[in-house]
Amino acid sequence: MGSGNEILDMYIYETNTLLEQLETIVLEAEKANTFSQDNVNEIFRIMHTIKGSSAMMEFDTLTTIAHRIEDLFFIIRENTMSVVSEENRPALFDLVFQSIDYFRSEVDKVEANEPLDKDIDSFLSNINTLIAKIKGEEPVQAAPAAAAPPSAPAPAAAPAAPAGEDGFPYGLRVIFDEGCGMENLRSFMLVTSIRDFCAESDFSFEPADVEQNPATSEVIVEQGFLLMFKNEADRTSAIPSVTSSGSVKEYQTFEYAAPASQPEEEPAVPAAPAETQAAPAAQAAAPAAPRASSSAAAAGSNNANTQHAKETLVSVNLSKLDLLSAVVGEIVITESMVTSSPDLKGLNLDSFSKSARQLRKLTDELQDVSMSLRMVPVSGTFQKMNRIVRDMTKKLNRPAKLTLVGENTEVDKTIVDSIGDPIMHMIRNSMDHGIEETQEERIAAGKDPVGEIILSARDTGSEVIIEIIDDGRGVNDDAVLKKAIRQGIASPDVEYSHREILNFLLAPGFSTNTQVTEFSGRGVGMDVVKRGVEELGGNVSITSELGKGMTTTIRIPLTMAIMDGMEVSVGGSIFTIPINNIRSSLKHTSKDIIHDSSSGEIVKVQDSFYPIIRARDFFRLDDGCTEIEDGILMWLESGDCSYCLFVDELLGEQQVVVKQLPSYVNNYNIKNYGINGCTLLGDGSISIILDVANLYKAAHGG
Amino acid sequence: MSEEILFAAEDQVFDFSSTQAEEPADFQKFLIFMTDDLKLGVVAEYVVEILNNQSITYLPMVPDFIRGIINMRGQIIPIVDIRLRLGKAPTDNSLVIVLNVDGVFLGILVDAVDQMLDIAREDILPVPVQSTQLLVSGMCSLPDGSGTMMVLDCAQLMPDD
Repeated sequence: MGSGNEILDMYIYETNTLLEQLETIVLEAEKANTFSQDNVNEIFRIMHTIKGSSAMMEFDTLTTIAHRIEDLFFIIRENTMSVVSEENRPALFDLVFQSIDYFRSEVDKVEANEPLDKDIDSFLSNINTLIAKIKGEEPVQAAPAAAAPPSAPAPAAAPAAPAGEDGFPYGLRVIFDEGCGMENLRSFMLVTSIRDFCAESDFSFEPADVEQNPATSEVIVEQGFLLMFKNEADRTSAIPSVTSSGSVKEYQTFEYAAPASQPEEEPAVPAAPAETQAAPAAQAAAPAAPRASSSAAAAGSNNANTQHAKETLVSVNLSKLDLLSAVVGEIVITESMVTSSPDLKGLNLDSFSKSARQLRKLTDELQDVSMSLRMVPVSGTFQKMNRIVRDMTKKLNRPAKLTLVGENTEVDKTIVDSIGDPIMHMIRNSMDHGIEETQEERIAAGKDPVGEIILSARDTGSEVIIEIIDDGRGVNDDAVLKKAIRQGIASPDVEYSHREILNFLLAPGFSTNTQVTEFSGRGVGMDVVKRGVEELGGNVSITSELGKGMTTTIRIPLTMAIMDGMEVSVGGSIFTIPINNIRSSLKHTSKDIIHDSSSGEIVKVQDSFYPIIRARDFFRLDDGCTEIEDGILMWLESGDCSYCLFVDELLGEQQVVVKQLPSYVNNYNIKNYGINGCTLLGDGSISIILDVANLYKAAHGG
Repeated sequence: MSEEILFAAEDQVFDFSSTQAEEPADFQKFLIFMTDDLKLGVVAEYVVEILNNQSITYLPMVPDFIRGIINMRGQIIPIVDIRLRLGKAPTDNSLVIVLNVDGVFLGILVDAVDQMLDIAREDILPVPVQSTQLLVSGMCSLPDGSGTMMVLDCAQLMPDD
């Protein structure tokens, strides 16, 4: 299917998932007859996302409704639930349910390719009345407000005069399947795909406002969608894009010999076949197709083509892949259990060891393959961002371009699915807050008038690093600090470092933009990013230089299932420390240890002092070294914290399969004590995986 | 006429539901194990398997009665020492009964496994209010006269929240 449908499918899936979440929240909340602040934040986020993606898909009615509901919860969020009086609460819950139903039915319509309900006024006025009630105003005042927002598609007169412009003599008329719906959007998708290989100045299309104006659908239905090219070669290469788009019934090529007065009424002149054939056209279908009469046959062979391409791809449920990874992990462990079984000690087994080596080779291969199955390139997610930058460029009138770097970097499927939102928020943020408002400002600062956002991905072997770099204004520390103090996030009496100030940007409820816009500026964006990334086991950091721009770095482990760990022992227990967190291991004598006033221990490493945490004492173990001379200090670092963990012995580095601890023990909050999970060692015993940052937090002022 | 049918149907429904409910209610299979001279019984449906000589990995920062975790064919299972849970002194016992209570896997460390028995549901009596015991939801005299069985309350084994 065409790219348009892919995006549409994604939208439908996402929106449905969000609506499901929303429903669960509201159902719970209604039982309690109140929304907790968390609920409100969550609903707010959901509406924000629905609003954003609906706007992207140009479902104006959905956007408008979502925006109003977001406004409603904005009030509640600012003033807590107490702002809604008891008698208004049922109405509030009803309204949220109504809106869920509304979105569901509209999304169903989208799915079924039916036209959307254009009449949202009564629903909108319901929302407005409620907002007014909550604000304690007269409901009457809501009426004019209700009339205003429904920005019904203006009957923008499709320019009738067809552009038989002199500059674009090579035409292509595309006719869509009857009743396929959203012809304007489909046309726009076509334009987007043509832009990939054809400069914008080298072609034009008609009607020109397909993107903004849904009314153009009708024009397209009646007259077809006209594409005009400067060069014949471009038109030829555009044909494969047209044929591969969904719902294209037929297309005709034609030339404007002279600017005819009514070219679109004149049946398209069948293209000179010789010209088309001259093209390198890889697709056999393309040259055969130009005539309307042969369009049916063309469609048939075209289908055959796509089907052939699809046969090599099988889509598999992710849960099956999860199962596969789990089983392969088991096999790897079992294999080493068998081959290093104590029963084999002292036996001379030539053929056994030969087979065992073979088995090892195969299991390694199996592991690699099963890992690679889950890896997909980030390009799909990255491509989505192009659209966002484009839209915002237009709406905000700030020219900017998006440069993608390393979009072929492969990461685990689950990660790809979840990094879309954080990246989208960061890009919006860069567009909205980063890039200067006017070109003059940029020119004055000695920058290219067109802003640039670089979205890059690279993998370091153990983690993938995604950077969003803009060359905008950068972060103004003073403004951020003032705002943080105003929001109650920062305290006015404390001196904050540059880095700490930047961290305020990631705090919930923080937003430096005073203006509420469709894209960002309500302080939802940044903490969504942080939370989303942390859920994936990654972290976000911001660097910025005033006037030069801002860089957001997202680091995410490549796969969540396997990592490199260092095994250490403390008494009879074995712990795994993620290799990424280890700076070095040190041998010290008790003379090097400095005792501080609160009976803590500190050691000096490379001209800096670091606190020591004794694993034995911290975890209250029965056995293990007590003398610094007998054990070893592991210098660990994670984020801001750096310290030394005192353990007995280093056992060696190992790739481990991360297993979650059973929920039964997780209930005891052991994650907060730096116990992150566990892993099975080659001999079947269990090693506990440490979380370096949480361990430090628990030991020091946790 | 129609009334008759209605009544008949109602009766049948009643019969049906009562037989359905009573048939398995008559007898329930229990696995009986020993902990510090106490005979405890656990509903056999919960029992996944019995493991011997498992090496239990100590897990820090959890209550004492959680002795640690074990690896049962790749599955990580927490182990609760019934002795410690009941406030008795621990021993070197290493017999684990793995239970699956509504999807939560849990191993319990016991002294010895006694036998499997079918016990009529009506024979299980409530624990006297004056001497309510931890982890016990009922008690019954064993039909072979070998003593009294306490019914292990698996719900109480679950974490408090």
